[in-house]
Amino acid sequence: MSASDQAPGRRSGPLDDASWPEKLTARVVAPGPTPTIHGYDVEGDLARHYSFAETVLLALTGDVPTTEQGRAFEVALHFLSPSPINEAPTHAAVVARICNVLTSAIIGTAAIALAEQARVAVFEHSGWIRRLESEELGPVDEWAPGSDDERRSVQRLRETLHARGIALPALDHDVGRLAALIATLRFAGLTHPDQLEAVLVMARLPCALAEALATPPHSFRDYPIDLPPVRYAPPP
Amino acid sequence: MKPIITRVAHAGHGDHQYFGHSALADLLGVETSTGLLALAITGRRPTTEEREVLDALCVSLTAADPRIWPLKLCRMVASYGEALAGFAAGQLAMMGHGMSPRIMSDAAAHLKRLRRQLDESLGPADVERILRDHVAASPRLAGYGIPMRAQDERFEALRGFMIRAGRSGLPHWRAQEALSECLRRDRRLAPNIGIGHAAALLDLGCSPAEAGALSTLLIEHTFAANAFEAAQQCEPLMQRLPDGCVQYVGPSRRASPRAAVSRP
Repeated sequence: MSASDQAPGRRSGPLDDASWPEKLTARVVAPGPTPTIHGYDVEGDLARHYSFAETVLLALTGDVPTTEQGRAFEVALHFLSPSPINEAPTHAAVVARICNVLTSAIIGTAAIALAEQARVAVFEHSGWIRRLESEELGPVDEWAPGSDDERRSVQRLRETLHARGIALPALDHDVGRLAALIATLRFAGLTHPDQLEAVLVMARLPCALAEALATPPHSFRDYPIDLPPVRYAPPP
Repeated sequence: MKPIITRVAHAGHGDHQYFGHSALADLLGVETSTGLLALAITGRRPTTEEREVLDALCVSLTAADPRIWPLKLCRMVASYGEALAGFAAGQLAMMGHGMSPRIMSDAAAHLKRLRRQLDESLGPADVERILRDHVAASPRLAGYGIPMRAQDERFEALRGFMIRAGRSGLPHWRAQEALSECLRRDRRLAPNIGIGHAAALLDLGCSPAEAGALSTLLIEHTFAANAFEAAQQCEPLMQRLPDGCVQYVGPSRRASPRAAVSRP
């Protein structure tokens, strides 16, 4: 931008008088006609040799994954992907659709709710994440499955990973579904809570949006408005 | 299924209940917009004097320069033409440790703790000891410290209002004044608008959590102004800057292991 592009009447103030960098700093994507992610050419390299999931791993971790890491990540994404309508992110997205809002607003609604759901889930597993870091798991009762259904789901995860040649020591323990998936994501290279939150959102967003977009817009009378029931009790 | 209890509202026939008031019969034409915000958070209608304080608090937060970080991201999102999208994104920018309401709540929480200790019967030496202990207990006290300038003009203006309004003798404002003096002297830290809001809202009867939430609502006009203008402008530079405005500091261009293997 040249000086002539600047608006007239530039005033003095704390923001004007301080010195600031002149450019944005990019650390992941190098923009331009042949963009790169962490140095790898997107169109000439990654698109030819890596799956999209592997490219997501690259973006989040800083380097391309091994074949085993990519497989484990794919499995975890599949297990994480269902976001049912009775959970807030999809439910909220469906209500947004009923309100006949712009699609961008439905996407935004789902993304915010999924991010909040992921934030809480990862926080609740922060002790488990620290255990995985220490590689001395010790007692895992705190992260035990909440039901036999959950235990069976973890068994299916073990079997699916095993079929792809992956055995995770953490899954030798009787742990819950999300704890097992976090261990799987850690094997894939995602170790930081921020990375885990990002992946939980990305994995679930498609199904949350699909459910919302399958709902007829403006279908107010088909929606169970009193579910869950809410009762008004004014302050005394 | 056990019902969820709400004290907020009920849609009735001919009127709407809101915190125990009939919205159209009781509030319309009587309650102010900042009064409604206070009612929304505290469940209690403010008095006429309290409404004036709320209005002053709202005005004191009018720092709406589009370059201020949360407001700038608000404008970027709104630049595609939807003000509400920018407004919503701006709200998220206040959700964390760096911006209110958490800072406001933290400031109110520690000021409330301090106020409890500052008994009227204490002598100057005891007050000084309590203030020093309070400062020593926290490496960084919310509501203090001002970037890029010597004093927070918003705090100073609010302070002037509180004196004029006869509220500078209220317990939390006095505790804030004593603490601010201590921090100016011992750490060369000046009070910012956060501690001013915290004190004023505690003296209005808010809890620390309510103070944080209410302060957040009282700043919304700065987001609204930027979101609306940005949506009207649809400024291409807000949507995309030229590539030349970016400095890339990541890894240099490299071949992936699979690409290296597949080369003839």
